Amino acid sequence: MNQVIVTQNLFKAYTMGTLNVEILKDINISINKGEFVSIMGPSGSGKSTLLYLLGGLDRPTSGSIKINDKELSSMSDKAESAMRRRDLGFVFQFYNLVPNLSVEENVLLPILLDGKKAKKYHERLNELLELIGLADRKNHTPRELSGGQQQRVAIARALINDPEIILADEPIGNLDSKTGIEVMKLLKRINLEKSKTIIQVTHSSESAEYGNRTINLLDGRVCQQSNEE
Amino acid sequence: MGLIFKFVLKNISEKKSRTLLIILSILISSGLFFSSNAFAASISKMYDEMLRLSVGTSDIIVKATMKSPSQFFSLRYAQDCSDQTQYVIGTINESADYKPMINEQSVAINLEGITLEDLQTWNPISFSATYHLNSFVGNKIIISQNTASQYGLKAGDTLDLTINSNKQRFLICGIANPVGIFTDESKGLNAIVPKDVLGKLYSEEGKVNCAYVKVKKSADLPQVINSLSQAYNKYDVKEAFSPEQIASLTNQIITPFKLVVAIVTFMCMFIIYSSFKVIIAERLPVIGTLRSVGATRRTTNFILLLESALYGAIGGLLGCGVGIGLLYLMSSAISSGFAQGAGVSVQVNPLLLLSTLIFAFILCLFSSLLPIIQVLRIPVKDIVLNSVEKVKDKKLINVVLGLFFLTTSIVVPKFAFGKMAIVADTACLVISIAGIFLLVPYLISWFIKLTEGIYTLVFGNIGTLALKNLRDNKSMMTSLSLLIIGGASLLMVNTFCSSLTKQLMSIYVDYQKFDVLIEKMDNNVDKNLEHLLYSIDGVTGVYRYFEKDDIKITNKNGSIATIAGIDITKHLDYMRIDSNMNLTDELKQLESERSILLTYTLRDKFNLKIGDVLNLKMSEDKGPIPYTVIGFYNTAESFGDMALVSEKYFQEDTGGQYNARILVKTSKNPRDVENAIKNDYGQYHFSIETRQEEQAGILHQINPILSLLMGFLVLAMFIGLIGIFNNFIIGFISRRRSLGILRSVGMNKLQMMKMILIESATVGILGGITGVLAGILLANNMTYILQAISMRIVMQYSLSYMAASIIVSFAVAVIASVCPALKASQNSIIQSIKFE
Repeated sequence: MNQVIVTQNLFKAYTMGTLNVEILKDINISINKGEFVSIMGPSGSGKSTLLYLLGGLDRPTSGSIKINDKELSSMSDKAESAMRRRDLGFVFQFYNLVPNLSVEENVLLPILLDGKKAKKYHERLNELLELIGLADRKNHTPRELSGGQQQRVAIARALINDPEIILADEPIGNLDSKTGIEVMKLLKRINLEKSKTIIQVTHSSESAEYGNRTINLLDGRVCQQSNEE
Repeated sequence: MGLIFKFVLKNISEKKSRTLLIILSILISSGLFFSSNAFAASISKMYDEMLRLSVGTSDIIVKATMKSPSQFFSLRYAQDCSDQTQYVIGTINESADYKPMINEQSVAINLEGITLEDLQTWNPISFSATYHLNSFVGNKIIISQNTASQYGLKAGDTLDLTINSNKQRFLICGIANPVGIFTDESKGLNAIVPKDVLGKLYSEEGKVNCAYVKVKKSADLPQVINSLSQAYNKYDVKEAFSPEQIASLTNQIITPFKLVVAIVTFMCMFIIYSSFKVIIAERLPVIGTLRSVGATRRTTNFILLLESALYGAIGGLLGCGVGIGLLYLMSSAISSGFAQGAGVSVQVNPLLLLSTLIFAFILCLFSSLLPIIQVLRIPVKDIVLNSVEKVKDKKLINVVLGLFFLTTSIVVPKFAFGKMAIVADTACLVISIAGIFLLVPYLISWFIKLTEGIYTLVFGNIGTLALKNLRDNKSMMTSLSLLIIGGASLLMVNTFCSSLTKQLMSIYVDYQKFDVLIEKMDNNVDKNLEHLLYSIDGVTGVYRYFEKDDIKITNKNGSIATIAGIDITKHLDYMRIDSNMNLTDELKQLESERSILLTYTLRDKFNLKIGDVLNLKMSEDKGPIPYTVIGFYNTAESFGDMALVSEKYFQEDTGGQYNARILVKTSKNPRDVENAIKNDYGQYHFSIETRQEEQAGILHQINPILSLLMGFLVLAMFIGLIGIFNNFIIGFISRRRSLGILRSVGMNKLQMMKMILIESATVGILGGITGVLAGILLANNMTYILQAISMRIVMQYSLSYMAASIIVSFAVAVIASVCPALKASQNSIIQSIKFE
């Protein structure tokens, strides 16, 4: 199997006042192409921090992260940003859409930032909007959408550049249970139909069930890895 | 109550830079409010003092005219009004020749013949040195410190003067300090001699040629003037100076300042309003908490209003201090210009201080009221849950209202006449700014729609994103509004200052076709002098015409600043007049009937047309005389508040109560001709200046005023700049999450910097261009306001200044965004996307 993400001896510490707090300690994991991995653990276990490190949103204190065999820590800001646009797609708990841009513009953001012509992506945009069921809301702004709809826009944004990996931080943490199930089903469909690697951070075991592997963190260490299938 | 007060004080002290900005805004606007109002009182007082230098404490002056049987008259008829007068003081005013050294050019000295007691009652002086002054009789003289130092004279010395062809030796018994008639000797030296001595020399003992009268009650003034006019019906009996004259002079200086204060106040209100929107957004969770634990809406409103009132109180108190300081600066500047010789007169009125405090309170409360009212409309549940919809939909009413305001401000001034014109024109100036503010969000929307393609072409997708970020971006809108209003005010005041200077200078360059001006002549001198001047080498032409100031139009309830009685055959050779009409026939008509040519300013002021009749009160002792309006013209003189009638009717109707002016054309250096005239005819009393000297004098007078006006504006711009910088910082803080999101989906630091710089550069250029357009609109409104106070200024717009204005606006916006942009690019993505 192709390993799309590999971490080695990953440490992350923050300085809080005079205290040095270790959030992640010696994390060694690998994620294969097409996997749907759920990272679980109690609050403060470091699961979101791990996801951010994997997505290049934060830098590790020490250790290595390789995305498709490319070492993240040696990348320039330009290369790292390009990787976030092309190889990764993010879905956040609070959707993180740009409020003054329309649904269409939010979805096209990675394309625009990549310097590509938005017109060339209209077909893909419509396809994604159909997929998330918001084809008729593309000119609306995030303020005019419900939480579930906003999360689906975030998913479409994560997919627009056809990245290999989707990183989702508590994707249903802010949604009601019915909408949460819809969003999880959508992610699962994307995982299966489009062969995307999905890594989600979640508190919920129901949500983790949509994945095929679970990594459990406790106090910054991997305490258990289990294969659901 | 104590807890609420403590809470509010803590809020104020927590956000130091915002508190500073609000207090600075109130401080500057209330400081300018105080200083401009107090300045008006001070100018009025200074003009009063300046005019009183020559007329002392008197209210009425009686003087001989050309039609008087004799230059001298008795005071006994004036004594008939003694029950209504405080004093009637007679003086003999004549000139003397003083030759400091043999073979040296003689100097004219203006002699005031008066008793020492009368002098100290009428126009008191003090002495720096005396010599046997206790008995001021016989050939004794009081000279000024200036004369003494100029000619090396001291008390006890003698002075030889030629008076009425008689050589007389005087003993200097006093050296006077520069007060009273000795304050300003720039136009000639003054001296005081006993009245009887001059009476003897002119064989007019017991008589005087000038009488100064002071009434007991100012209410009696018209009656006393009337009685004296009847008693001295062949003489000129007039008010020493009228309050209207001072009010008109004061208005011409103070109106531009008041306009700047109005604009500054509006800008400060906008800064306070936008700051309060941020304050209220921050306070909402606390308000929610307070409401959830039982606080009433009244209590929460009280908290917000108390905060506003505290800002008002602090800003107002500091503003009073700043205002007093500004007033001193302004008064010193004015005393070196317009009111030269009057000294600094600072009027700090306690009532005005109180008004300033009230103004500061109202300014702050009024500016903060709208955001507070908006909170009132939010349901308690939404406040408690902090689920307030933060963006309001753009309302069509705003665009309609904005366009209506702009259209009104352009159209209404064209049709506003009479006394309401100043109110209507000022209101139009204010609503034009309000209209611009209302249209700013739409301006951005329209701009985005129009330029999206261009931005994508030039800057790529980052340009498109930058443009889209401006949409609904409140801090950018506030910055844009501040840039527009700042640029517009600068353009308006700068255009006014440069246009005023150019216009005044154009009088000398474009309108006057002569080289030397002689005025302020003694009675009957003008006619002789007109002929005598031809004997001076270099004089190629002489034209004498007449002027009278402040002529009342009885059927229009107003007055004309200056009416000139002209010789139609010569006037156009010496003075240019512009008109849309060919005035040849009209000029002839001036001679054939009582008709008048008015400036377009007066036409607009009184809403006149050809054929209208004006009843002019041309002299104190005659009733109003009808003059028919036969045409209109333009002139830069008297700011366009002027009219022309024929010399013939002018002389008949003014009864000799006028000022003659002699215009001289030269073929030689005007300065040499001026000296030759002084040399040959210096014994006559007159004031003589070349055009260059007059031009320099005018510049000396107006430059301090214009500098002050620009100073006012610099203060306003200072607060505007702080507002813009503060706004950019607030804007970036509020956008921190959005910027983090962009970074999280792949925007690199360079792209972020580029996007922010494109955003701010766009705001800068948009602000600059709109500011220039708004500035033209404001300057246009200002023209009408000035016209309403009889100042016709033709605004001359400078393209280079407009370009500079756009560049400055661009630079301000870019500089203001550099630091926040750099900081934003360094922010942690995680921290940013978690930022609320």
